[in-house]
Amino acid sequence: MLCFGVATSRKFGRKRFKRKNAPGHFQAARSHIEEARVLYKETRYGYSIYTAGLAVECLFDAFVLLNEPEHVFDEKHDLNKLMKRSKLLELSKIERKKKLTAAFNFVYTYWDNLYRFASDGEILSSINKKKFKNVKGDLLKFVARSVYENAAEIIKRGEAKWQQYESK
Amino acid sequence: MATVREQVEKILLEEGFSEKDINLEDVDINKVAGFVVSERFSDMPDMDRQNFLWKIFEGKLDTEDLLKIVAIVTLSPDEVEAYTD
Repeated sequence: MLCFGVATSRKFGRKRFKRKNAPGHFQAARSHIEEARVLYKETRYGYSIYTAGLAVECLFDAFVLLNEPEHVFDEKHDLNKLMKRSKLLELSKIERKKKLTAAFNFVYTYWDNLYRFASDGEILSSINKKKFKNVKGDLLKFVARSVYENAAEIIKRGEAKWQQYESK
Repeated sequence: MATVREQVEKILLEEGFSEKDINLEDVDINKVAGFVVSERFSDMPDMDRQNFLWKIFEGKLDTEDLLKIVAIVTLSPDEVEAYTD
């Protein structure tokens, strides 16, 4: 069936989704951060981590496209490259910039685009390799909650910045 | 018949949120997204803010309408000030 699908899509010239739409990416970021919360609530911690990081990636994508509408994404889901290109963490208020940078660093450290292929056990194993210390109890739950909170902080910055852009 | 955006806005007003602090927009096909600003979100973790808001919505909307809420981002006045430059 897979071969048939590939052959059919080639035969009929199926076009792949293109990342060219800043408002669409912004709405996706909003949607994914909410999905991360629901997944956490349902104790789907591994996928909650993945989805929270995906929300941040969508947000950065949206602002990259605002800055450069013709940008062709070749960052390979590297949040650090996307963050710099989006200029979203450039803030004049130093204290808030520090908080936002810390939030980003946490998400950057504990999120991986490849988590979409991983089980909770594999994600936990990956987190353990990062030598997380001083956590008692369910480490995956703790990291999922922390990734959510830090991703939500970045989303809030995106929401404020987006409103500025919309009001221009 | 009220749109889901109008229903959500009405609920937020009933819950004491100020009209000027509610910013909702229609997205996709009859879905709603946006943000709400309130002092009550100060010093509250984001997940707690969202759980608080969704508990309200779940008490007042049926499942079909709940699924039409994409996301309502919650901000404190301090965060709006700090994140707007």
